[in-house]
Amino acid sequence: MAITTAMCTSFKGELLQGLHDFTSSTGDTFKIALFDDQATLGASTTDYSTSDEVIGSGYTAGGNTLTNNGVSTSGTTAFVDFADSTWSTATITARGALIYNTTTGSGSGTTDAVCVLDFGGNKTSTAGDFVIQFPTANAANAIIRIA
Amino acid sequence: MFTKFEVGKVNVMASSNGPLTPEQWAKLAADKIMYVGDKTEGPIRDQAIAFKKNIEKVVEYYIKQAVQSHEKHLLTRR
Repeated sequence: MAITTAMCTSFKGELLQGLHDFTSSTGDTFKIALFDDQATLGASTTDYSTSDEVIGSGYTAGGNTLTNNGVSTSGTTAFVDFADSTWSTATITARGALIYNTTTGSGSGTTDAVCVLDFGGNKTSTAGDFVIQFPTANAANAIIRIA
Repeated sequence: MFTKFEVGKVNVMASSNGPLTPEQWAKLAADKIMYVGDKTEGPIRDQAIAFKKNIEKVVEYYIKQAVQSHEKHLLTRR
């Protein structure tokens, strides 16, 4: 059982098929779901599933919808940024997260994995805030980068 | 030449029995404002970290000021 930070391989293929739209506001809807340390997630993950997803007060299965800040470029790198995501008054422990697309290819209710995030250890909130801060949106740090 | 797909590193901040503190929010703000690369070394790194710490303190001060101001405003509306 392990969570490994990775860009999902299926996502790379789907990108080349033009199935993911990261345009701000008018693009696809992306969500972030939290998982415990029993989860196995990594490059081979293809879809969101509730298996080993976090359970706790203040958390709803499927996770939070992300606010997509859109696509930018710098030099020869293109990157995507999301606004930080918060679960308030939450009692949860999470080891990692999965970003997935719920409207892949203009569909609805899709579960296509984008990338896996390993927190490096269990993170716990107790009747408090659980905040995921995305990295600075630039060519060296942004959450999703194609160089 | 290969195209590289890369995933950035997220920060996770959590609290117990209440919301994040101004100190925690200030740290998140400083992390967003300034990134000190892992490969930075020596006095430049020390200086960068010191500057970032200063940013964190300034942000923390104004967050606390904002909280106080908001609380006073709420009290005067009662």
